[in-house]
Amino acid sequence: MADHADLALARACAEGSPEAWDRFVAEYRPRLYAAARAIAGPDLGRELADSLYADLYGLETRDGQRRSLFTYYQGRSSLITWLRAVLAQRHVDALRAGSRRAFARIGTDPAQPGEHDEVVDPPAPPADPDPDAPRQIAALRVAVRDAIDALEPGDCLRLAWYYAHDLTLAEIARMGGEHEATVSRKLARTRRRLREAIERTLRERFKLSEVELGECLGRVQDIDAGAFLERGSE
Amino acid sequence: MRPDRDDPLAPAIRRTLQGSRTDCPEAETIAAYAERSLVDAERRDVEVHLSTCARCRETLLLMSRAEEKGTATFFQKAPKGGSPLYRWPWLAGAAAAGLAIVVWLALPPSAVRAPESDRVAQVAREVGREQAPVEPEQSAANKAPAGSDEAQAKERSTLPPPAAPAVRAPPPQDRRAFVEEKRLADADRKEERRLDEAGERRAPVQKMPAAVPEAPPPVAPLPVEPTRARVAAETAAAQAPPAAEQKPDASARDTASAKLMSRARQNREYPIASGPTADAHARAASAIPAVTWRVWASGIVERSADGGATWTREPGVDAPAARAIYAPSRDVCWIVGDRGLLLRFETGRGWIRLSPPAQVGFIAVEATDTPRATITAADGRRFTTTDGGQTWKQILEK
Repeated sequence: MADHADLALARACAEGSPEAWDRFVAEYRPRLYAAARAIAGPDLGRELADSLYADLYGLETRDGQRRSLFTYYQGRSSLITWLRAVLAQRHVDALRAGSRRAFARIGTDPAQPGEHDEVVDPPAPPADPDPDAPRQIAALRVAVRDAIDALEPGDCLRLAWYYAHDLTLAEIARMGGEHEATVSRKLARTRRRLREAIERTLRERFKLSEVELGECLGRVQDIDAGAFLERGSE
Repeated sequence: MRPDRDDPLAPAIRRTLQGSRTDCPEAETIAAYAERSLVDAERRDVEVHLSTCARCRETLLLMSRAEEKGTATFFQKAPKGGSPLYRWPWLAGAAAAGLAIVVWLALPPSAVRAPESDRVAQVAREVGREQAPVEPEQSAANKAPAGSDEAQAKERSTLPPPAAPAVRAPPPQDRRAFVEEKRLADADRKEERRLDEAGERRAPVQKMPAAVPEAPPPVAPLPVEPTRARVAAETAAAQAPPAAEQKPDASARDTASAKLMSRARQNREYPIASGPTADAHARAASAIPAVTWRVWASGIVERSADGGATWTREPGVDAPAARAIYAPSRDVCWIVGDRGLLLRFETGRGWIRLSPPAQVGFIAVEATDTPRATITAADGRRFTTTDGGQTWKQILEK
């Protein structure tokens, strides 16, 4: 939780107070490095923490003045949580900006194309003997996207934790401060509603018959990832 | 029903949810979300973003990995077990209350009387006050061994009568609350006596001033509450920030930090201005039940729907750094303050923490209607918005 002592310490460090830095080094530096190791592993963690530590001290200057990262801390959270957030954000950005394929994805299925993969034009699909396939895939893509967009944010977030990050129900419960049984129940409900919405869209908007509907849902593996990756960058 | 990870639609759902966005919240907002310290509206905004941004979800996941042992407030562990008492916590209270009633009804009156020692002490006081004959209980006290309750009661009986009925000492765990309650009650009594002597007993709650000057920044008098409420607010304010006080063993090398912390605390000891602060609101108040706002130094935001006669605390908002508050109508209220504090209330949407146009403190706010407002930064710059605070434009002084 926000703490005025944290804010005062951050301000003092930003202003270059040696006493404040002594205190930060004594109280927060070990925790900062421990957090970095937990986030990025022992090797990358050290590098990550060093980099942040330098920015906190303000080695880089702007207009001839030292600019400390502490100036961005506004006291809305505790200092250590903010430090963890900055570390985590930097590590995620490093993964995304660097060798996207070299790093293992965080909590995602390696078999699935994800956001760390470079967005490239999907390869041309092999010729499908079924002439209805392109139309059905396009309809399914729209139906899935519309159904997810219509979800409540909390439901959508649970779905993302479960399907996109493969978290267990217990982990999702911990992230959201809910009971595991509640998460299970809400996920099941969301999944049911999602399926109903997708089927309704396919039936009513795309006028698919029951047979076509079955065929269409069977093509879910054919949906290219590239089209979905465009979402969110809007 | 347990959700099935092998749902035929799972690949499509997974791919749809793996996109990322570019308008991510700041690290501090994510940190505050993780600590569950955001107001409801802002928390919802963050969840909307998280549901469509893999980058921020991964940030949150990594933060949870780095969680330290013993940090109970961070990513609180979900309670285990499916006990009905967990799902319906009120059952525990109801059961306890029911049990207490049953015990009360079942036991004979003598069994629920005060303990013997208390009755002896009471009788002893009566004896001291009225010089009445000694009751049988006191005789028993005379025979009690030294150090026992009865013996202490006997000793008390020999002292002059107390000015007020003695209050039984609470158990140690309740002592702090007991002392605080007594202090509040004493303060209430003193205040009432003072008012009686002055011959001007006030209404329970004083109405807020109708307007404050525009510049310099509005510093209206601190609203005067009944003593109990004022003390409670001051207590809350005193409990919120104590940084150096929580660490009395801080060494001498902390002098500079301590000074800054002290300054941070002092900054909060300003008289918080209160609304309504505009003529527009005053006019509105004449036509509709007056909606009035105020902020306490402790950060508590209160709203009155009856012109200040009664106040209700606003849930889900905390503005300890507030400097100015402005309500142009009954449905909208703005709060600005130190460290870029910028809050906006709108009926139906609740409190929203807005991104400030600059990372500075704000000392004044003025709004003309629902989406338009002008804020003044501590460095003198002024910014205006016409879309409810989503975008800001600096006003260049001629």
